[in-house]
Amino acid sequence: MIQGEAIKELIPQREPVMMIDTFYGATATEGKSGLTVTSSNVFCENGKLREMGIIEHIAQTSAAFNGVKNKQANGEDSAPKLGYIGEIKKCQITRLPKVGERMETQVVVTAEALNVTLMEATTNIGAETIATCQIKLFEEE
Amino acid sequence: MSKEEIIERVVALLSEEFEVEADVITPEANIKKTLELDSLSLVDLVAAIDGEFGIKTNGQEMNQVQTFAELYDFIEKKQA
Repeated sequence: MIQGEAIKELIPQREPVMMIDTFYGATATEGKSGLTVTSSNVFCENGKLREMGIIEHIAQTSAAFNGVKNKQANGEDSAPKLGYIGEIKKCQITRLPKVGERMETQVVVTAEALNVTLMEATTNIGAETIATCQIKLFEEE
Repeated sequence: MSKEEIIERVVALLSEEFEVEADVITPEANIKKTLELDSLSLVDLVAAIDGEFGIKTNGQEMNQVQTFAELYDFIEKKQA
């Protein structure tokens, strides 16, 4: 499990737009992260995390997953590769998390082609799925 | 699965997934031009074919497949 400052080794974002507080771990094809919504979150409005915040959380989960995968493949000291979100589609958000709630997102690789990875993301609060989408990550060589 | 069945399923799948008319998917047509694939959307083709036929391909293999006829052969070999 990766938390706190160590998260910064996986993703390029910094406060106030860091949207994961824990990365639980990864296999070759799956990764999972979490975030507790706080009132100081820049994507919060009227006590709820807005849609952009959920999407940013999913995007950062996929970036962190790729970061961990690269470290597993190339060693802990390997320099992180630069990645870009190529596309987000089939996004469904059924409700917005409230301040104090904890959301957890799992990404699963469904296909890889050259340096592009396609993932399915599912965001839960407890057992309730609140968001799903397909995310495409492009990684520089 | 017969070659005819593969062709039928590929045409139905790709015309829906990439929103093209089924009649433009001819054996000799170039896949990338017909489906307007770029480096980002090639992975969508891999995902669609893998999901439909339960096979595991990679981008390098798929990148070498030029026409739909080659794609049908590729799927047939993968399933053998």
